[in-house]
Amino acid sequence: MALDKIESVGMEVLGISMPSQKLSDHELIDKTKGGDEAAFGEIMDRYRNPLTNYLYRFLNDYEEAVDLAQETFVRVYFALERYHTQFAFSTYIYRIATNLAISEIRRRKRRRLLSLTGLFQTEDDSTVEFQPADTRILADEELVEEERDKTIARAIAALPEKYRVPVILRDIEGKSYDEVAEIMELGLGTTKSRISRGRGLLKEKLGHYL
Amino acid sequence: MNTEPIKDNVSEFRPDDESVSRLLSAMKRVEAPKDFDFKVRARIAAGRRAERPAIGIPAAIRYALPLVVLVLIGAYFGFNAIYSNKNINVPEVADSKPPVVVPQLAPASNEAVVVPVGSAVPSNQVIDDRAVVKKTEFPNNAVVDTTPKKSTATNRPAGESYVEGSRQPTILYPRGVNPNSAPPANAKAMDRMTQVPASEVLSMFGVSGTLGEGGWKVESVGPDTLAGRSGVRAGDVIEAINDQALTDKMTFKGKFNGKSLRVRRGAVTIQITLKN
Repeated sequence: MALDKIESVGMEVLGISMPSQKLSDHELIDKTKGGDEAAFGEIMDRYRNPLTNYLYRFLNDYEEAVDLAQETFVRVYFALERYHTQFAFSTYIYRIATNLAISEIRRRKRRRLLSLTGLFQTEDDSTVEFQPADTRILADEELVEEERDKTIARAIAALPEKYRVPVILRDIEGKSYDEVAEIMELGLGTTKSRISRGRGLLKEKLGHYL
Repeated sequence: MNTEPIKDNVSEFRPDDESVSRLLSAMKRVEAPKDFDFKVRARIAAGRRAERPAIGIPAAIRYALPLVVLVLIGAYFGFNAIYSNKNINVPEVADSKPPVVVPQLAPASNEAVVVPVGSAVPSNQVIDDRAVVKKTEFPNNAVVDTTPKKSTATNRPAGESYVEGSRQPTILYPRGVNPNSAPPANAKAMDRMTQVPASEVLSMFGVSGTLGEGGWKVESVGPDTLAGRSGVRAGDVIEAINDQALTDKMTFKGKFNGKSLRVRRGAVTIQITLKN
């Protein structure tokens, strides 16, 4: 404890601000507005991995997910002056990421790019073709797990957007129903209904693993 | 890694949902690459450069400069609009011959302005409408014919309808007067000092005559002259212009407004209103 204090004082003497872990998102935002770049670094530390994981599950494309996660932080940075602190920052940043991801998917459709998702996702998301998982016994448990994750990821990516977003936010990112509803700007009932419907669609595709 | 399924409200959670939720939450999470922050900061720096104006001109000057230019342009046109009607003087031309009617591009109005030799004339012959002429203050003894003229088919310019308010007056210039030439430096003073004899004035009206007893005896009248159109005939004796009796030495100064003539025709004295 004392060592932390000495280290902190030493950094302040060197002119480097050390954002405290106890600071809330809004406090970090205020500091960033004041020109504290370290505070923005702290925000990135908090949301870098969750956002990347969320976008990866959404797009099923790691490079694209990283790119959009970075773009999300850039958008947040340049929109800090317009950000109102009456909303939760986590909701705000997930909403930006979601909108970017949806835009990206629609751009892909327009350009008719064939990605891993596109191999089995139709244009209008209404009908879904799904290739069943390979059920052969694999020796290596890690390979089994990897194959299962890939299958689940493809199944998620094959969901229509309106079911995919709430299911990922709720079941993978662990957001509450209220948070999911706020991110999607939907009513609570609609959100729950979509999550339930999304789970039902996944169950049809992933029955082998259930 | 958290492999516990996320617990929903009991009422919202079905057994099928629970198994799916457990399966999803057990998925391996991916992490951002190590250079994530670096790339974000690089993008932010690139965005700042893109936001910066191409030319390092302060914002105040950037907006003020075009504004000043606009104001200057507006002032230039405004100044021209206000002062373009100002009279400029024409050089004096000593010529006692009868005036000539300068052809006008604009349709003739029902007023006539007689400009004697050496007087100031409006620049570009702009006497916009009757109101302007009436309000113009002429020098002493100014004679300007402002008699209203009836609208007839014969006095309308071809192909135009008669619009009284838009007519420009006919301006008569003595022979040799160039209304477009540059005025002399002392033109205003010359305008005041110019002495126009009565014979010159009558010549401008189109009357040729000799000074006799009680006035100028008309020998001939041009058919398409101011006097001819107004009804002056050969043999008439013009006793007065604008009720000013004509004498041998009588002169007029500068411009004047020719309104009427007092004419003795035989034993009768009549008042003739000059018509354009």
